[in-house]
Amino acid sequence: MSSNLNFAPLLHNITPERVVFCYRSDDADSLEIANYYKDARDIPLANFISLPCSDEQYISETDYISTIEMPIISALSGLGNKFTSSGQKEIWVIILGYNVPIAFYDMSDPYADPYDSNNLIAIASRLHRLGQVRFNKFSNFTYDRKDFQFFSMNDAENIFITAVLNGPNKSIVKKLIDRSIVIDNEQYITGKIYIDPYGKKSTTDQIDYQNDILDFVNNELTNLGLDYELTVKTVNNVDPMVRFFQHDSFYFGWFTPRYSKNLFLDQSEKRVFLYNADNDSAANIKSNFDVNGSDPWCNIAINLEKGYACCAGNVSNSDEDAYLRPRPFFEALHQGSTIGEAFLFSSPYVDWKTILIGDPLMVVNFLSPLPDNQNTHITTLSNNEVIRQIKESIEEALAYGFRQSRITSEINQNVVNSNNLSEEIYLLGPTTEWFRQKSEETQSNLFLRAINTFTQYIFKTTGLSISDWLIRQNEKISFFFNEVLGSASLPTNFVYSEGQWQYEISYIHPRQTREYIYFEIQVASNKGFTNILVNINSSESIDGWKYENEKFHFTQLSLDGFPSNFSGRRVRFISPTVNYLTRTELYYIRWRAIDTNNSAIIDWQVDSKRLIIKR
Amino acid sequence: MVYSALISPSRFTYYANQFTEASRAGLESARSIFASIALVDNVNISTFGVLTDAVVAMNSLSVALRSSYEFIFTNQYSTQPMESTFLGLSNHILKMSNLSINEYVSNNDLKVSSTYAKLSRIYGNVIDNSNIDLDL
Repeated sequence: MSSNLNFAPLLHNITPERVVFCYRSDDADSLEIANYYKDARDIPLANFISLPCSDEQYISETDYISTIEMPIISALSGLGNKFTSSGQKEIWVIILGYNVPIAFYDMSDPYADPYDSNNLIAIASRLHRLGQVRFNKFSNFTYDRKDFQFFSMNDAENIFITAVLNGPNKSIVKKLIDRSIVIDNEQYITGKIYIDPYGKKSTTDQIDYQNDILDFVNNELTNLGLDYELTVKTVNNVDPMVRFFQHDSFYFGWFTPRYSKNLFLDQSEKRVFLYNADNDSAANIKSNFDVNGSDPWCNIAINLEKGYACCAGNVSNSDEDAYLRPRPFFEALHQGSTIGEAFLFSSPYVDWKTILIGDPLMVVNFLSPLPDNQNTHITTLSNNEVIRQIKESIEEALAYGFRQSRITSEINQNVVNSNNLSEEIYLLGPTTEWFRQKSEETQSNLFLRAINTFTQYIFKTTGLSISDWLIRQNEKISFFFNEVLGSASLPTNFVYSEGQWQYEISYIHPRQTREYIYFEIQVASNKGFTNILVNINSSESIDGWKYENEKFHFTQLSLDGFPSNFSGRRVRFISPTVNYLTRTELYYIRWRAIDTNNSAIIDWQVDSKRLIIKR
Repeated sequence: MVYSALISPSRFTYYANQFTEASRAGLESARSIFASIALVDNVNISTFGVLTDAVVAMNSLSVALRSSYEFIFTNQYSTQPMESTFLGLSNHILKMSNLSINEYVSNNDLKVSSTYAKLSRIYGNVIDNSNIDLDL
C-alpha cells in the first residue's frame, strides 16, 4: 500500500515493491530525490539503482547501453526479473530520477547525422522494452485495450511502465512528487479539462489524430464529470489556441509547440496532467522558463508555481500516429489506473520518443462514477440489447420448430413415395400423426403468446411499435417471426431475406502484439469439413464483415483487418446474397484468425453448435 | 409398382438420421426459448423512464416466455407419435427379416445416433453401444 494514500482504494496492481528508482551515481542531489521519492511512496531501498551515467540530457547510444541499460538489466536481474522470453518480472515500473539523461542519439541509421536532435530516442520509451532488441517505433500491445484491464504480471513479461522524475533543479522535482501525493489524496479532482482537437490537417495521420481527439470529446469527456473547454475549429484552418488557462486540471492538445506561462492563471484547483502533442515538448526539461516567455509545454507544466503533477511530451519528432491518445488515457485513469499505466495504455508506440514526466504511481479520483459501458462489474444489458437478443433467441427457437415441421413432413412424404407396402403399413400411420402434431400451424401456435407479449414489452418499455423499434435499431425480423405475428405481420422490407445468416466470433487475442487480424469462416455440410459450402476470408473481401467498435455497436471492418486491441469484442459476418444458405437447414461452421502474413493466430475453431439458418 | 420388401440399409440410415434430426430440432427449439428467459432478468433497469410500468412489462414477458418454454418442452416430450414411428420401423424390419433393430444394424455394419438409441430403448429395443456413433 502506498503511503500518504488516504482516500483512493487501490484498484490497480502496482505496489511499491514493483517499482525501481534509478539515480545517478556519485550525485548527491540525484540520491536526495531518490530518497525523497522512497519516503513518499514507500519503495524498498533495495529498489534503488545507481547508474554510472553522465548528467547531460542527451547521450550517445553507446553510453546509453553501457551506463543505463546494462546497469538496469543487471540490477533487475538481482531483484528477480528474468530477461528470457516470457520470463517472470518482479519489477514492473522503472523511474529515471534527477540528472539521469532523458534521450540518446539514434545510431541505427548509418547515414543520419548522429547528433541531429531529430534523431533522439527517449530513454524512458526505450526502457518500456528493456531486455528486448531495440526496434524504433515498436507497436505497443497494451495500447488502448478495449476490454480494459489493469497492468498485470502477464503484461510485465514484455513491457515496463516507465517515467521520468527530472527537472531544472531538485526543488522543482520534489514539487512534482508532492503534487502527485496531494492529487492522490484528493477525494475527487475538480477543475476543467482543456482540449484542443484542432491542429494540422495535411496528412492522414494528422486527420486521424484530430478525429481521435474528437472521438474522446464525443464519447468519454462528459463521463469524467469535469467542466471542459474546447478550442473552436477555425474557418481558415489556422491552428486555434487556448486563450488562457484558468481552473485547469487537465490539458490535452496539439501542434502549437510553444506557449506562455503567463497564460496559466493563478487558481486553487490542482493541476493534474498536461500533454501537448508536438515535436519537442519534453526535449529540454532541465531548463527553467525562457526569458522571452515562450516555452515548451512540459517546461511550463513542471516549472509553474502551481504547476502540473505530471506531463508528457516528445524528445523529438515522432510522427503524428505516435502521439498520445486521450480516450484510452482518460478511460484508464477513470478506471483507477495509475498515471503510469494510463500513459502506457495511450501510447501507440514504444521504443520511441514520448515520455511521462512525474510520479507514475499517481492515481486520480473523479467525482463521476464509471459509465455502465465501462464498468466491468456491471453485467446487465441495455433494454435495446436485451430486446435484440430475445428476438434472436425466439427466431432461433422458431427456426428449430419449423425445421422439425419440415423434417417430419419430408419423412411422411418419403413413406408415401416408397411404393413399399410393408414400409407404408408400419410407418405411414405414425409418420402422418407425427407430422400433424409438428405442423407449421402447431409450431406457430406454440410461440403465439411469447411473441405477442414480446411486442407488447417493446412498446411498454420503449414507447415504440415493433416496426418503429426495428427501424430505430436498424434490425429486421425473420420470416417465421413475421408469420406468427399473423394479422399484425409487417411488410416484407422488415423481414430478412430468405437464407441470410450471420455468425459472431468473440475474439481474444492470444499474442502480446498489436497487429491487424483477418478472419476466415468455413461452412460445411459435414462434420469433417470435406464438403465446404462457404469459404470466406476478411483479407479478400470485407463485404458483410463488421466489428464491435463500441460495446453493442458494430461498424464495417476495414481492409486493414481487425485491430488486436479490440480483443474481447465481437466480429460479425452477415452473409451477402452470394453466401445465402437454406432456411431451417443446419450447417457445420468453423473459423480461424490469421495475421497479415497469413499465419494462423488461432487455428480452426469448430463451433460445437451447428449453425441453423433462421432467416 | 407396389411391392413389399425389407428396406435397404441406405434407406434405414435415411430414416434413422431424419428421426434423430426431427427429435433434436424439437429439443433445440425449447432450449433456444429457455435461453431468452434469463435475458429478461438481465435488463439494466436504471435506463427505464417509468420503472413500475417497465417492471410489470418485464414480469409479463418473463411469464410468457417461461410458459412458452414449458409448452414447447412438453410438446417435444410428448413423444408418442415419435415413438410409434420408431417402433414402426423396428416392426417393419422384424416382419421382413426376423431381425431386431440391433441385429439389423449390426448385420449391415450401420451406426445410429445416441438419440435414436435412447428413443428405441423406450419401447424396449436396446441398441448395443458398439452400434452407436456419438458423432451422429
